[in-house]
Amino acid sequence: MDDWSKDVKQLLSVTLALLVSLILVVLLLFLMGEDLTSLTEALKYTFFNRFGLGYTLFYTTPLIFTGLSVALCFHAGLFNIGAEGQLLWGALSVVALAKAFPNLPAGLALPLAFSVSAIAGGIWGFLPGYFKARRGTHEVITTILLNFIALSCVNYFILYPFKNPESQSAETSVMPAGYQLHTLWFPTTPVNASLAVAIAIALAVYVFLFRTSFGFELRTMGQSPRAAVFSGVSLQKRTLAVFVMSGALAGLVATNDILGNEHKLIEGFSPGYGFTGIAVALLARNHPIGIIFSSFLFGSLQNFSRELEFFTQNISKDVSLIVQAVIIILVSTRDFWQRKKQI
Amino acid sequence: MNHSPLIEFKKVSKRYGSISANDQVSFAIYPRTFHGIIGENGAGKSTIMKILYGLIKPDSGEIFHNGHQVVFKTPQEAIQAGIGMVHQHFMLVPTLSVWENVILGLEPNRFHIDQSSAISRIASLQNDFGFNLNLSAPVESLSLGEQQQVEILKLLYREARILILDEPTAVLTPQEVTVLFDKLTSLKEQGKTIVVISHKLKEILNYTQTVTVMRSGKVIATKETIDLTEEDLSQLIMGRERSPLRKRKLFPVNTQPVLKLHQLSTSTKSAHKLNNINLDLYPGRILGIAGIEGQGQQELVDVLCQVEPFTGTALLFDTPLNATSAYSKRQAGFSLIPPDRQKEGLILNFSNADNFILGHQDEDRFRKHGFLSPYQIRQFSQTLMDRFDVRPANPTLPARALSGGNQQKLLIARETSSEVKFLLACHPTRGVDIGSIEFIHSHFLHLAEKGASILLISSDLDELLTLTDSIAVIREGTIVFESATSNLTLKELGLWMTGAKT
Repeated sequence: MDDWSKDVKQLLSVTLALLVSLILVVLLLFLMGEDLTSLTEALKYTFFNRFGLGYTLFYTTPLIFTGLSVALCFHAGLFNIGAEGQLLWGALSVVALAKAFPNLPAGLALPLAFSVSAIAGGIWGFLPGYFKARRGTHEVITTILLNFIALSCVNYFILYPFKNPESQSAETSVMPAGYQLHTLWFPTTPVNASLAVAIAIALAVYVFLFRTSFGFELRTMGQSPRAAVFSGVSLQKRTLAVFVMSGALAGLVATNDILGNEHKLIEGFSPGYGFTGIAVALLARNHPIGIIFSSFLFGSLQNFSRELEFFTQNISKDVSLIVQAVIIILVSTRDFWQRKKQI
Repeated sequence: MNHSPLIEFKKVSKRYGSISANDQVSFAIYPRTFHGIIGENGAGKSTIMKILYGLIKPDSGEIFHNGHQVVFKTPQEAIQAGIGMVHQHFMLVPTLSVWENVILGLEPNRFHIDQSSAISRIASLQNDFGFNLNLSAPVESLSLGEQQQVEILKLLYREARILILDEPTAVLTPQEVTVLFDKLTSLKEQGKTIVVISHKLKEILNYTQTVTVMRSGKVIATKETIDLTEEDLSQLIMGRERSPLRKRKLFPVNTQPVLKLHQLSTSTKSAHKLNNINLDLYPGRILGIAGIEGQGQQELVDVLCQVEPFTGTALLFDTPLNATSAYSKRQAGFSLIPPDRQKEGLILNFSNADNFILGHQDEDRFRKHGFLSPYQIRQFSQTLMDRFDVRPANPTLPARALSGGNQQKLLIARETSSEVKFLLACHPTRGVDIGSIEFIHSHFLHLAEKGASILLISSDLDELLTLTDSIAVIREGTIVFESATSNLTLKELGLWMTGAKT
């Protein structure tokens, strides 16, 4: 009951934040001397036609994965700032798999690729979990540092062993047909089955957190590690497990962007999904179902600013960053006021 | 008393939904008196003081200060009028020094703090009111009793004339309690008005001049303390007579100990590491651990809960303590009431229902088709909440919404709902009202009659003397004395605890 009213309040404040952002964008267009019809066109190509909606959904998918990755750790009282690194290894592992077994049929290749991307991300998530559990090293430090290591390593593979010799840019060769996911419901857009997998996993994470004893234990240790220990929970094992699971979730981003869109690994393919995932989780108050919606919000923002750039002369797609920042500030400001009243 | 009242409440009411926290509360506090407010948890004692202090807005009623009607909207306004309050949980910054904590919020200048003049002003305050704190020591290095003195010093620095203390003795040792009340009495003699919220009969009877008794949000009586006996007061508080603790039927003698500690020591850096502890606890027996706070009790709990490594032998249920996981120990009948119920025993943000399965989350009775079933968990907790009279008996409320005594009852209900073979109970009645204490004590006796062994760690010596079969005194990490309870007196225990007897 109490929680429900909180959700309503959250929804209201997000709506308010969106309205403010919209006003901000209008103001920006006005100041830059742009035609206001570019706004309606951009909105149309974000939500109101098949092409636009397809792209919006395509951008939604990776954020569901990274948002869940961050939220799962949050529930256990841990901060996973390393989703970016975990998803990079996921992407590389898929490409490596395709190189090793190029002739697998799709029926075998795709499930294998999904699993491999999750396992690779999981292994990269295991490391900060291990350091935290065994040595007490703060996970924020280790995950941030591991991001740099992952980026350098993956870039090395893109530039040297896996480099496409026929291409001028830093990218791998296109994967064989068995490894390609194709658009399902929105022709000419890259949205693919990975979205359905992401939504299904969000539901599964919800059930896991709120309907299993393992999830209960994670939430307990997130609230009070000592209470968890005294009730017989091993913090070390749970810390390891939750980081592996978080890493696996982040690793799955590859299924959308690599299997589903480019079919190859391009240097810098992720525009910071791992970090936006933090905002996504924050906005959804770490609720797995809420993450589907907040991912859609951030996904549409990304698509919207891309379209806005296309329809205007002087506005770049960095507008989305501004709007994201405004939303986060407004939503967290609401928490700020609430907390202030309680004291 | 020929003065006019300093503070007067007239028909103050405050409701939360269907619950009346304060119902037409009227009473007066006279200047230069020591005024006690007593009642069970949830009786509305704290609420009425928080209304005065500007923390809670009343629904109706009037408050008069020196004959003028006042409404304090914030604590700052109350402090300016000379009213100060020390909360049950201290509001101090642990890493700052004593003097920094005292001036915090009242720094004379925004950009520069004149350290020497601040210190000298606080030093003269200390002198005037008989405090003796090291002003430059960080607050985290002080004992809880000293931290409380810092809180009082803060109010004196703000020139408060009325000091309100909410359950000030909940975290103090018996020695610290005496020090605190002597200090408060001398403050009263120097012209301050003292208001103490408590549910401990002895404190109120020994130190206050006037006492206001509250029950279910209403003022039952305001009387001169001198006219009251302990029996009168407890009857006013509970609305019925106190039932004496029944005699317990002793469980048959069994020579196989449930818990056996032999030459147990810990080696951590902690100042109160355990040193060569030997204890045997037999089925159906209650063994008390007495001692001043911080003599190794926490370490003993941590060892038994497998949080702290140790050397020596520790056998629980005939198996070495570290041979199996903490979880399987709990499953085998090890129940625990940890020292800090709010941080170690419960999750305050979880619902009451979820708190009932903490430590039992893997059991089949809470599942349906392999998943936790909210319905079954709610049913289970509703039954237990009714049986243990946890109020309000609503499984969906967060545990945070319960009063301290009810939180403790919830914890005890959970820990004793399945078969108990060994119960480690730490301060089970600390901060709990009389009615609940009676309940908890008789429940412990009931468990022991059925064969459960209880290790009772408590700083309440009366509790130890009434409940246990034998008592061991712990000092500086060592058991310095052990004896059958029937041979012991309060005085003797105190001497062993303080080290006057060795």
